[in-house]
Amino acid sequence: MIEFALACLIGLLFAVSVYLLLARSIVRLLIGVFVLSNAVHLMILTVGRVTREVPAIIPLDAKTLSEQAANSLPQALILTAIVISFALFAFLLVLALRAHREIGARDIDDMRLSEPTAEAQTGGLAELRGRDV
Amino acid sequence: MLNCGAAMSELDGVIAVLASDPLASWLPVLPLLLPLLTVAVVVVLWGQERAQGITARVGLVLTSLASGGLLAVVATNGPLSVSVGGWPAPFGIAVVGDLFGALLSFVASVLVTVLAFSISTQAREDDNGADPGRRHRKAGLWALIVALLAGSNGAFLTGDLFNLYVWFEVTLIASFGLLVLGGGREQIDGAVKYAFLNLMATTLLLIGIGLLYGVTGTLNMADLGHVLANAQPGWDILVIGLMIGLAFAMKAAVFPLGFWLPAAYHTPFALVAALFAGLLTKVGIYSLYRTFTLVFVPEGEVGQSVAAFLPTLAIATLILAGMGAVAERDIRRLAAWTVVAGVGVMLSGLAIGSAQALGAGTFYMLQSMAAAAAFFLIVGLAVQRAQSSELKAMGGLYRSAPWLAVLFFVCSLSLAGVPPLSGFWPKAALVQAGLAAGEPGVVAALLVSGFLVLFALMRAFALAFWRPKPEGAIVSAEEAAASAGRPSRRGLVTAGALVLASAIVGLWPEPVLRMSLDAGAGLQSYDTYVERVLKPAEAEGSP
Repeated sequence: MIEFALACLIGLLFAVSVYLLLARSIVRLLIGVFVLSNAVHLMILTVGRVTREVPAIIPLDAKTLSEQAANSLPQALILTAIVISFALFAFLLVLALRAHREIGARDIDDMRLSEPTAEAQTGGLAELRGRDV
Repeated sequence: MLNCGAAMSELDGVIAVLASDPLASWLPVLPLLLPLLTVAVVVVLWGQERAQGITARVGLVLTSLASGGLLAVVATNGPLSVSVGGWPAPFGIAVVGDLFGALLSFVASVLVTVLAFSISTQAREDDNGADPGRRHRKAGLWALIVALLAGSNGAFLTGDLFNLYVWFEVTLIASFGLLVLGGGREQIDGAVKYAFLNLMATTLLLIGIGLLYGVTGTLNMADLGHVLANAQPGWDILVIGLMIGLAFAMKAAVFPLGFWLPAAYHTPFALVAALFAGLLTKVGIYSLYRTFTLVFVPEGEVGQSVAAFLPTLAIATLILAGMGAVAERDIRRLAAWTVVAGVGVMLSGLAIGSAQALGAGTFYMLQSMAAAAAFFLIVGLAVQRAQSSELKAMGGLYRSAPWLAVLFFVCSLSLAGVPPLSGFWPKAALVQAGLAAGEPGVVAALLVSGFLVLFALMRAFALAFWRPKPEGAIVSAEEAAASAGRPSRRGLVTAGALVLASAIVGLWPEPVLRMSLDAGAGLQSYDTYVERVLKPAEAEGSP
């Protein structure tokens, strides 16, 4: 039952993040990336067998875990993935801020400095349009 | 003769010592442990540029020695596997050095070391396109370069799929840092695209790995191949396989997913671009080779459905990169398109799929690390000289910098695969393997793409080097200011050394070719690899 609920939640999170990632605004992209990484972490937890209140500890008189014990490997994987996605997200935030300050663009379509169009060989499109951001 | 024999037996003695018990269990771990330790020390020395430079170089030399030792042992004794923390293989993380991974790790380590020695440690304020200035060194250039090598070596040598993801992220974070190091507007623009797309790719990889763990309950690559071969074929494994393949293809800049590369690779200064061109796409291609020979075996369901469209992707990448190179008017982006063409060549090795094709692809990877890095350095120096990267504004470089022109010419021939240079042999072997395997389309695309790249590069040579400087060339104030400094002699010497290495390999390809073909054979018949990973105790008894 809990798997079904989690699966629905994960699907919802994926849908939200795809919707956000398709936007042209960098801020929406950032939120999309964040939601996506959370969706993935939840997904790893769910596929790695979700159980209730049985910690992965081997009792004193036994050699192996009991059958219903929680699977601790997905949790280790998620912990690693959380740290990595957190670091990358922090970097992306700073990068987006710098992009906003240096280029003055919040829209991906206005960022053509590294690939100038034919009519804008020098300078960004935002500059040519005289846009005030 | 006698001398040679003595040297050989001495070498055998060294290999025997390296392969003995306590050292052998450290050897596969050292090429990734040493750069990680170096990064830690370099970060502690923050602000002391001289000490940072010395530490980084010492660390890189030690890493090169360690991966050279690993290569020597693996070439004679076969794959070497170590279980980290003493947990046996399918449960703990295995670090595996086989010939394929060890070759790549060795060449990558040497390349990064050579490039690190080309960085000037003198306190100069200027950064003139080719040579990183003091500002870059202060901002963590040393730490990031070594971290990039740690990530790629880790990816080349890990035997665990989740661990591969972690090394990918290490490489990614280091490359983010290197890409924005100068902080120019163009760089930040390129970095935004690079960062978002590569983050998507690694997230996709993580989804694939998570689901694969859910289905199989293991993450060890050798074990995964075994489990998947016995698994009930179904759409779930197919979807996971395609997802993982898609993630690696994005990383490697394969045809419909590779447009981020020419948008970003030309923006950082030449040394970083050279590092990226030499290392990053190879990590993606390496992962494709590894997963689609070992995890999703070619005989399996996923392998067969991927094999159905790999030739098409290889052909599309090859042709598109050739056409992109011909259409390009900016010499730095032209260099980026040659990298994509190289990706097409390496991918066709996997698409053809025979042992010889995989070996030829390996050879191409090794020589292209040096050739692509050299080419980006040369282009960086040329742009700095000409004060423009637009082909229509460049010219007269043959008169003002004859050695640079010679290097550009030779390196172009190597990239296009013209006979006496290192790019020729892997292409010839690929064409032979392609004809033998009945893939005439891939062979034709290889030849056409080589021709297009050659045409584009020769046109660039004619425009930028051979003709006199055009009158009234437009030079923007920004570019003129950026190139105010003295041209870097270190950059020229480094590029010269790399081109020389490419020429030597081209004239005497036998040792590299033999090792690459062995590596290709090892990829195709992976039984020894699996055995060494899953049953390390038995492997110790072997000679």
